[in-house]
Amino acid sequence: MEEQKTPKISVWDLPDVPKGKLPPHLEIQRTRVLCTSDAPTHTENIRYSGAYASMGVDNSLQLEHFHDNFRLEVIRLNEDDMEFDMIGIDAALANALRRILIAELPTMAIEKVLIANNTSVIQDEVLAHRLGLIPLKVDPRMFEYMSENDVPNEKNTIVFKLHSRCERGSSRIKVLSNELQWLPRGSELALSTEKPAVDPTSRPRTYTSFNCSQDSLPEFSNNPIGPKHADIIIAKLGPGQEIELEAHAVKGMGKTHAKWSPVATAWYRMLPEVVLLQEVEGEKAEELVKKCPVKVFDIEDIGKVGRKRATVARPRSCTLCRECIRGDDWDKYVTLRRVKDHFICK
Amino acid sequence: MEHGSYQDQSQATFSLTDEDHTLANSLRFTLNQDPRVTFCGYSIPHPSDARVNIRVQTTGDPASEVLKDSCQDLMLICQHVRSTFDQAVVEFKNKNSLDAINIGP
Repeated sequence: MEEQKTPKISVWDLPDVPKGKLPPHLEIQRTRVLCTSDAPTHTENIRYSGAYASMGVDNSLQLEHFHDNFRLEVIRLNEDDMEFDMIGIDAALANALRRILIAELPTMAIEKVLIANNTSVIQDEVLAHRLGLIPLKVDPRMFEYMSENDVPNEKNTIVFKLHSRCERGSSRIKVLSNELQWLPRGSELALSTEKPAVDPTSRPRTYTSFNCSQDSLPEFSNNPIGPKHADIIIAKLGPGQEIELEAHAVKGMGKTHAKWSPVATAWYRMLPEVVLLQEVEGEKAEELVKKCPVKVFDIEDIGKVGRKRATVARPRSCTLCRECIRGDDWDKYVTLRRVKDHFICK
Repeated sequence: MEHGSYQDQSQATFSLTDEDHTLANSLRFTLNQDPRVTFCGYSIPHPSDARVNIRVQTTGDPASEVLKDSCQDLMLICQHVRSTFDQAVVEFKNKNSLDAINIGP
């Protein structure tokens, strides 16, 4: 008797197993971070191209795939801050962007301070430090870097002057940052090693050698360079005290000193996803809505009976405080997850 | 700088100066995507000197070629991100100015 042999097919070729895709529980593992009450799990990114090879799923990132999937949405854009979403990018690139924003974008900041007179209570070096931290409103792309051997000229230096005194008999005054005057023609302090010039009409050599006035450049002729905020207090002077100094600003990166960092801060977080595993109704729904401090949940009335049901209304504002899964039993109703490739950047 | 052997070109350690996690993590990510790579990782021998060691082991192709290819891929990804960003900002500004016109009397 011949036995009818069924042809051997591997289990992956069976008609009801979806090919080329991972089973749902693995897909969740690959793309979501599960935040349980103890600690987040599955945080590593399984981006190795050979992972899941035994299942016939190609995990490698092709460029076309990336081009198709990558989206960027701007949520808010002001002069001073910005919030946007990046979808489809990996954590390594988002972090690299954040590090570059903080450390490797050039800006201009005051570096050398030549103090002619300082009789205030603020020490010279503290005053220079404070001046360096003042943000300047100028586009750093118009200037070049200055190295040790360069002569300060109009292409790599901006010169400011500060002269402020408090008269005897008046009360204390504050020295604000709008008293920093821009000198488009360069430094006015003469070099001390200069011997008296034979020719009285020649200009004495100063600390900078500007060949032309910065005023003549078209970008600066109508908007003068100055500090970004006019109301920063630099120092406070009592009666009879005086400050007279000249400050030179150069181009630099946040890597060398934080005063050159263009952003106050830059951070990102992954999009939170709040999933209700079971229906939450009635009193439990009210309790859930009350628990969350940022009002992620909302009540929705179903049917004419007036039963209440909780829905997730604003998952984006979830701060992952885990209030909703504290206590007994709530684990069965709510899970918190984070989408691994959706970053909210601010 | 590359530490490898002339006989076996498929594995090498690249030591890059003046770099840190910013470049190394992104390179490691793009290297992982390449199907020719069996192993890749990076380490920073000491945080005070800015030096990064990237280790690449491939299935036969010379490691330097694979590294160059993944650098190119990284550049293309970044260019795409940049153009998408510019587009998104322009769209946002247009949408906002339209809203302002619509809301006005």
